[in-house]
Amino acid sequence: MRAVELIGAAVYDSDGVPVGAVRDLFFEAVGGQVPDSGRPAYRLRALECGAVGLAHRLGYGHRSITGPWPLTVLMQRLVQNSLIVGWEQIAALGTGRVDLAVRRDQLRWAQQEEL
Amino acid sequence: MKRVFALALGVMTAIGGFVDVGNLVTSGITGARFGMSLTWAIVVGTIAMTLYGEMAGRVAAVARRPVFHIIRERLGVRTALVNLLAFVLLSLLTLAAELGGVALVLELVTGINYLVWVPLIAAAVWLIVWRMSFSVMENLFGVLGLCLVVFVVALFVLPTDWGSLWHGVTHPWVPPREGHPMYLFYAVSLLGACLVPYQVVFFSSGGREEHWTPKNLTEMRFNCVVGFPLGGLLSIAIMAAAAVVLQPLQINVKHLGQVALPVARALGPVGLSIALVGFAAALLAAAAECALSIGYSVGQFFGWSWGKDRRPREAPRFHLVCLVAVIAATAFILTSIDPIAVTVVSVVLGAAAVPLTYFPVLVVANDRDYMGGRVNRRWSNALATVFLVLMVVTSIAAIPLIFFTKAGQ
Amino acid sequence: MDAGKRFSADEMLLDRQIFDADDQPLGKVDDLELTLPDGGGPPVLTAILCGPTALGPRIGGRIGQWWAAVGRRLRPSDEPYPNRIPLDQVGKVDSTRLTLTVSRDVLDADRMRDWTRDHIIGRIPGA
Repeated sequence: MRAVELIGAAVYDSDGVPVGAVRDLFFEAVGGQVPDSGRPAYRLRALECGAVGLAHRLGYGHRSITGPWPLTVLMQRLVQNSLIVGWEQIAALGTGRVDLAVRRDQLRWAQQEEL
Repeated sequence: MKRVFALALGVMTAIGGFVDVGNLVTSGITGARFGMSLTWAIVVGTIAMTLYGEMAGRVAAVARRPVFHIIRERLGVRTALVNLLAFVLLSLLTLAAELGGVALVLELVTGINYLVWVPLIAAAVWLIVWRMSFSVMENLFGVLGLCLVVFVVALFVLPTDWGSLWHGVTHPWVPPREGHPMYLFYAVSLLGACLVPYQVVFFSSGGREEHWTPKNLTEMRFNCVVGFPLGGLLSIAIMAAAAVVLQPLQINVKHLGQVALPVARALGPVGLSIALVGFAAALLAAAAECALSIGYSVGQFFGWSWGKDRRPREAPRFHLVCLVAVIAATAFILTSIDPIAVTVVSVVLGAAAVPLTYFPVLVVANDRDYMGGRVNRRWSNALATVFLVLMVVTSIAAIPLIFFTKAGQ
Repeated sequence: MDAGKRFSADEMLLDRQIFDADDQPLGKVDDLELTLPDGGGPPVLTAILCGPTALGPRIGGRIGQWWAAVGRRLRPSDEPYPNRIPLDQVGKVDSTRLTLTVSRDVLDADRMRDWTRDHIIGRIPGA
């Protein structure tokens, strides 16, 4: 699987309600290691889904951007509306489409998420 | 002493890098048609260029990222690609205008039609890109470009009515013979000439070529804060000279020779030849910088090895892009399209494209993960935001103005 | 690869400049390869992908297809799968840099550069 197949894919919840498009992939280190390197292996922990991609791309999601003033307010508002989908909440992966096993209101908001 | 010399050299190259065919042509035309009433556009454009130039230089030194690395990282592949295509097309147009400009200067000197000179100049530009070391290029042409100071001298020799010039500066009204759209069109052209996107791409990529680190910040800032405004002052001097000599004669500038006319009037053949040397040096350097910027932008977008401090074998695709750019721009200007018209259209379209290049720089200059404590201060953000809004407004207005005024005819 | 405990693709990986062990640029992180483990569970990051065949699908549309086709021509035996840099050849990754633990000459991941050098630029005097 390639990241391009996930990023941009449309996400629908268990009732078929659109949740947004995949904007970012969150990884975490797992106990296992990449063979022979002694470095941690990473697994896909969650997808971030939102309506507007620009604010994420610019880094107003998880980077510490301090300005300029009107932009920070606007962008952070856009980012706040995105949702986190844990890998275990996914029911099926199709071409350009992700179907969830849960309802939209069971998802966590991105701003509550510790990266 | 050595340090003072290095600083002086940096300032001179900043001046040389600021003034190109866009500034010469738009200052000449507007001085002759609008007197000093558009001075504010150069002042605004220069302050914005200084502010954003410093930001791009700081990002290059601290985050070690030139402009098109930032654009791809922060805007994503597709938006960045659109951005890249716009930048490349625009810079090709600018490159064509610079080549045509040098050719017009040689036509003036030799009497041989400028089209004959175009291929030779293109070959010279390519050789500069191919072989000349980065610092030699910057310093040689930066210093020769200072010949343009002859415009300031001319103003003092001419029977300049300083009071009336100042009156024009402080009363930016539309002259009776001109309409508002025309006035706005040329205001946009002056802004575009000060803010041409290739300048900031070149400045930041040059910073990477010279391996800037945070230690170079003071020097870089000094170059920006002194060099760019002096370049702007030179543009104003050219405008003033045109206002003094050309405006009373109602000359509509159609050729670079007319831009130099005030100097010839004031200082005779010697002055004229100094001015023409200045023109040729400034435009030749700008042409090389423009061709390099096209190579830089494409190389940075794709992550190729790029730069003049690498041998061509080490950065083959970068050099291929530069070569193709020079050939394409040469072919375009050889269609015998009017280089002055190309210049005017290129700076106005440039004004339309400015936010694409400058906006990502502003965002990254605020990113603590990249910049640590060297993010923008509050006042510079406030100023940068005001200019960004202005740039966006200008950018939206630019293309309708081109059609409405038939590109300033 | 060492990128700390947690990171996001946007923040640290995608579209970043890759530098090799000798500090030479070797393309961008154009895509990521994820592998579903045999025993089930979330996909694991197994390689970073780079070059035209990786970038093409991300650009999408005609231009993307064309760019990927250019890249495929340069791959040995018309291989459509992009150059992959396995994670054990990726060194430290942080918000400022992505560095490999090997030299780019070992990887043979940039045939387009080699082709341009051998067929065009290398033939011009002074290269």
